[in-house]
Amino acid sequence: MIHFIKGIVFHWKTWARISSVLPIILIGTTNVAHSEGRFKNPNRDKTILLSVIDQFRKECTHVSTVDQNTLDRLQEFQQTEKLQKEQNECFNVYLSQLRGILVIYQQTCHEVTQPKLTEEASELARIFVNIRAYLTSFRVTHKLLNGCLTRTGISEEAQIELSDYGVGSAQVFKKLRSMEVESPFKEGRVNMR
Amino acid sequence: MMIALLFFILDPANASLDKLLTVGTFYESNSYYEDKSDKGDFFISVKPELMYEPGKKKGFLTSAYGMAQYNKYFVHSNLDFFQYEGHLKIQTISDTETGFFLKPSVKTLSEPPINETGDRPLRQFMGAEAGAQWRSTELSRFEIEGNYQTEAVSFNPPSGMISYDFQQNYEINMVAKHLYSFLPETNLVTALKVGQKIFPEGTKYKGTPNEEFGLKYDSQYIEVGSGVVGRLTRTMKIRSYAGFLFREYAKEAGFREPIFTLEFEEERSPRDMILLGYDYTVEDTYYSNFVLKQKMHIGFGRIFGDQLLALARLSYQYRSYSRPNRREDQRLAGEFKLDYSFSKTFKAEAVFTADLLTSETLGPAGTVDPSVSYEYIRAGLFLKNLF
Repeated sequence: MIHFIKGIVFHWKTWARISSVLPIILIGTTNVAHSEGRFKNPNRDKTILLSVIDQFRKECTHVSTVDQNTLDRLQEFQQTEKLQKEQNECFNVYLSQLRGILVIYQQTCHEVTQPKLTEEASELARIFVNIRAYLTSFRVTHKLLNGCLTRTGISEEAQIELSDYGVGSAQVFKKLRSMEVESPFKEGRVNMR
Repeated sequence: MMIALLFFILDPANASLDKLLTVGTFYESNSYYEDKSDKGDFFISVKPELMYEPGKKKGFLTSAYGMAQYNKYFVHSNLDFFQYEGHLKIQTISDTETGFFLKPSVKTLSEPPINETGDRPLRQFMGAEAGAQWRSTELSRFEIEGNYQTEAVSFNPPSGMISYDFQQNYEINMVAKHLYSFLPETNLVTALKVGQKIFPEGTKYKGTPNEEFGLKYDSQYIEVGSGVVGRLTRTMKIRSYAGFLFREYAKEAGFREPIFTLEFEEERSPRDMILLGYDYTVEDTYYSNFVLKQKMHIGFGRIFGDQLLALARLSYQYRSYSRPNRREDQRLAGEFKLDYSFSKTFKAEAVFTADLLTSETLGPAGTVDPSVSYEYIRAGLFLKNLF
C-alpha cells in the first residue's frame, strides 16, 4: 500500500515537473518555427502567395471604398429610421462585426499596397492568411444581416452591393428560380397538344 | 381634384420609375414543338418594361409594372407574336405592420401555333388580388389573400379542329395564413386554401363527336397544410410545405390525398449557390380533370470576379393526367445562362435552353399515342439596359 502511494506521489511529481517545462518547450518550438518561417518549396509557394496578394491588391482599395459606403449607409439607416426591437437587434448583432471585419480588411489592404512589400516568408504567410480569411470582405456577414432583416421587410435597404455587379446570394437564388423553363402551351387535347 | 387625388395615390416625389429594355436574338430548333419533322427558325425579341416603385416602406404605397414583348421570326411569319402584362398595386402598411392591398392585373399570353398554317392561340387574363395582414403578437402574424381571375381564349382553329372556347373560365381563390417565428429568420406557416374554377362552356361539346377533344368540368378545392420557411443554418434555407388536398370535379376523377414541397438553398461559399427541390403537387388542367406533377430540380449559380454570373438549372418532371383523359408525361428541361455586367445598368446575357418531352397518351383500348412529344433547343444572346 505504501509503495502504491509512493508510486502515485512519484508519478505526480514527475508529471508536475514535465508540465511546468512543457509550455516552455512548446513556446520555444513555436518561436523557432516562426523565426525560421521557411516554405517547403520556397519558389513555388512564394510565387503562389505573391500571385494571391497581387490579385488582392488590385481590387482591395475599390472593395474597401464600396464596403465603407455600404457600412456608412447601414449606420445612417439604423440611426435615422424608426426600427422595431427585432430590427435593432439584427443591427446590434451584425453591425459591430461588420465594422471589425472592415477594419482588418482595410489594414491588410493598406499593408499590401505599400510601395515595398515585405520579402520575409513568415510575413507573407501572415498576410496570405488574412487575405484568405477576409477575401470577401464583410459580404458574408452582410448577407446574414440581410437575412435577419428579411422578415422585417426592410432588407432592400440593406442590399449587398458587389462592386459593379450588384448581386447578392438572394438575387442569385431569385434568378435561379426564375430560370424554370415554362411549358410553351397549356395542355389541350392531343390534336391541340 | 382628380389630379390632386392622382398625385396623392402615386406620390411621385417619393417614388422611382425604372425603364428596362431587353433586346435579343435567338435560334430555336423546333418552333412548332412537333414530334417529327422539326422546323427551326431565328427570331429577334424586343421587350420594354416599366417599374414604378415607392420610395418608402410604410404608409400609403403605390407600385406598378408594365411589360410588352414583340418577337419577329425570320422565316415563319405565323410565329410572330405580341404579348403584354401589367399590374397596379395599392397598399397601406402601418408601423405595426397592419396593412391592406389591392392589385388589379391584366396579361396576354401567346402560344405557339399548331403548324405552319395555323394561328397562334391567345389567352387573355384579367383579375384582381386583395389582401390584409396584421401582427397578433411579437412573434406571429396573419395574412389573408383572395384573387379573382377570368381567362378568355382567342383561337382560329385550322379545319378539322374545334375552337378553344370550352377552355374559357373564371376562378376565385382564398388563402389564410398564420406565420409563427420560432427562430429569428424562420417561420412556421400554417395555411388554409379554398377555391373554385368554373368553365361556362366547358361541356358545350358533350355528346358530340368532338367530346373527346373539348370537355372541361367545373371544380372546387380545399387544402390545409403547414410548413417551415426560412433559415435552418448559417448557409442553408428551407422552403417546406405538406398539406392535404380535396379537389372535386362535377364529374369523373377527384383528388383527395396529401401533397408536399421541399426546397433547399445552400450557399457553399459567398460565390457558389445551390438550389435543390422536390414538388409533389396537383393542378387543374385543360387536358383532363387534374394533373399530378412530381418535379425535381437542381440549380447552381457562381459569381466570377463580380462581373460574370454563371447560372444553370435542370428539372425533371413526371406528369400524370387523371380520368377522363389519361396521359403520362416525362419532361426534362434545363437552362444555362451567362450574365456579364458591363456596368450596373448594362448587361449581356447568353442563354441556352433545352426542353424534352416524352408523352404517352393512353387511349381507351390501351393504345398509346406519342404525338405530343417534342425535342426543343434554343440558344441566343440578350442585351439589357436599365434607364
